[in-house]
Amino acid sequence: MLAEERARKAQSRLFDAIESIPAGLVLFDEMGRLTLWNSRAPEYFPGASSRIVAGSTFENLMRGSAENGAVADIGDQAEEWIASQAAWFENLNERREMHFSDGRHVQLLGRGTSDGGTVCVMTDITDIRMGQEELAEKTTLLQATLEGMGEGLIVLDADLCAVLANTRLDRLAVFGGSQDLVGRPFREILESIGADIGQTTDAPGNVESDKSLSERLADGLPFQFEIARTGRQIMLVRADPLANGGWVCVFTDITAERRAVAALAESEDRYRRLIEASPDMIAVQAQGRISFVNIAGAHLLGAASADELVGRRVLDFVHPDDHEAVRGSKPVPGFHNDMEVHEFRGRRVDGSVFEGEATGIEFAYQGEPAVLVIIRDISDRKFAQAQLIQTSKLALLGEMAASMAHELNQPLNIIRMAADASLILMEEDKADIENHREEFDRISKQSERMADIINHMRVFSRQEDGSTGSFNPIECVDAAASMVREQYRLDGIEVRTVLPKVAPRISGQPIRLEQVVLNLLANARDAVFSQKEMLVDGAGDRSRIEGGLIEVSAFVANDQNDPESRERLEELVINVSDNGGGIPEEDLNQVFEPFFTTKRAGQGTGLGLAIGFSIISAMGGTISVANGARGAVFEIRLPVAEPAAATEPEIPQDSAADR
Amino acid sequence: MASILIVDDEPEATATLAKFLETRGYKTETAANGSEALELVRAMQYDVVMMDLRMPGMDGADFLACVRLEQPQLPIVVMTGHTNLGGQDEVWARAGVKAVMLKPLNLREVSEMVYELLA
Repeated sequence: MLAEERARKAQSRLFDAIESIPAGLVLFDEMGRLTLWNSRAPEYFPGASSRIVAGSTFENLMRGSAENGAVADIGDQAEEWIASQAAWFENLNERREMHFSDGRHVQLLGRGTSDGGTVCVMTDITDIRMGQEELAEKTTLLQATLEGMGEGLIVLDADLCAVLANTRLDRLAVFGGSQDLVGRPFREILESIGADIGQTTDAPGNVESDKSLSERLADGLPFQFEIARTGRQIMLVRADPLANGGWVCVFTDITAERRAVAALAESEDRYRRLIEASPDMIAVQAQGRISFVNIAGAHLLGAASADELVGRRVLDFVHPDDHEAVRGSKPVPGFHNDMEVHEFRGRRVDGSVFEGEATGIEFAYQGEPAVLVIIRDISDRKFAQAQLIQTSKLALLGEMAASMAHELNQPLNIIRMAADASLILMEEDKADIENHREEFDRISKQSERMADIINHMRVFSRQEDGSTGSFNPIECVDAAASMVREQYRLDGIEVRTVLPKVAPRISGQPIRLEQVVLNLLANARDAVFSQKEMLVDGAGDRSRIEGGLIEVSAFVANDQNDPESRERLEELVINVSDNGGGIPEEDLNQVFEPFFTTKRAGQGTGLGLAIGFSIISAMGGTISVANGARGAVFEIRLPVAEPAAATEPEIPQDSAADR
Repeated sequence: MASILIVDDEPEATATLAKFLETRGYKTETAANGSEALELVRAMQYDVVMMDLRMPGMDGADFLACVRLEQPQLPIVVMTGHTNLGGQDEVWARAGVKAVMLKPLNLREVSEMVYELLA
């Protein structure tokens, strides 16, 4: 009784123990028949609770779960799974896991009992598995991040040996494989890259210091340094300490950046040299002030250095008379072939004046709209131009001197003969008062004629003072024609003028216009002559030679039928045409080029028309040439400064009725 | 009465010279250029032709060339402002020019020269 009582108590305690464990428990006898289970057991056999009865088998329980769809991930492999579970039950060699459709993970632990039976304990490990999965997912994500990042990454342990490296580092630094790096000292890794280690700086920041890499690592503060592999990459390494004494080092390839920066610096340097070497002033102006100016600009403006000019008003360096024009000139939006060039008078720091020529181009300077201005000192050129014009004038003068001598000799001859005749008659006492009066009158008239010729020469050879005003161009043209008319007449060339009676005024220097017209007349004469020579040489028709004709005409062009022309200023048109046969078509567009001449060596400077072109251009006009029916026709067009006072119709001054 | 043809394109010059030569007792006629002069010498007999070289239309040189062929004996006096044409008497002689007088003319010399030519 006592023993039975004890046995019952022991069994009761065993049941209590079985019930108290936080797991399912099932016990099979030596025949594989279910004999005992605790109340939690049915939770671990979902879909098979009806089969948890004494005598049921493990396989039967498994089948119940599988056939009721309680087991996850088995699909149509239910039989195989059941077989595999049954096989496990026979051997019990390892822990087994089951994954149920409700998401639970259950671990099965089986053990044989001393009486040949089998005990199975089932534990819910869902939380563990979930945690593991999450961890795996996070790890995958981390790895993807590490591999996916553009930077190379290496994690060092407290001994400064690599514990982790991504494959990006391989690609950056050409290692055998990131796995090979694990366990290698950082110093050795850097050496294997074959890199020069640059100066270290505090990170973030650019404070350089003399601290070595070892000192930096000893400090335990974030820092960065650059490594350059000769001829290959340049990498920036940022090192951040970890709590455990290790480091995370991020390698960034900055080769392209460094090269771009170097290229930019090189390019900037090149342009700076170009600008500083330029003989022309190059300046940048923003909001009317100088933001930059090169050395040539400082020289041109007479400043000791470019810095002295920066910040000064641009207009301070322009002659007050030209302020309006400079303000009005618009910079062009970009470089192109036919840049507009503006001439202006500049003023140096000391107030002295120079002649300049400027081109302006819009651009952005330090993010602000600005104008790049190129200014050339053309004082020398202007002076040379004036000299050239004077030289050409002198050449023309020299050319005319011989004819002038002849011209003067004619009246002189008459004067002398008149005087001689009177003297001789007086000596012979044959003279009467009437005779003397006649001869003195002759002398007086011829002296006046000589004075006219001389005056004209004097006017022509005078160097003008450079001032420009408005003048009567018709007088000028007429004077030029009159000056040569007599000479040319002797050469068998008639100079015919058709000029308006009422003249407008144009601005410029009268002598210059006269010079241009005289040059055109001389060219016309030469053309007639050369044709004459050609005819004589070729035994041509001599009668044609005698009709040399040069026509000079002028008129004011203003087409009243054209509404637009009323807005425009009137133009004075001066035509000089000859019957010298014209200019070969292929030469037409070259005649205004300097040193172009069809005349024999020594006969023409080749400058006459070129200078004429520049003179007329300077007056704001144009000069052009075309071939007419009988010879060349030169046309000068000049803007009228003041229209003719009266509007009476133009009356031809000369015999031009047949035109 | 000896007759003299004066050829010059300056009407004042021909008039002055003609008037003076008339006071010397010569008969004068004037022409303004070579072709006018050529017509006159073909139509009439002149004792002396005094002519300028540079004239519009037919100039003195052309006139000389024509007269040389037609009337080689006609005495011609050249009046010119070109000082460098003097001193080449032989050349002028071959062209039938008896004398070259430089402008401005000295009428005493003109008078003597004409007198000698007609003597």
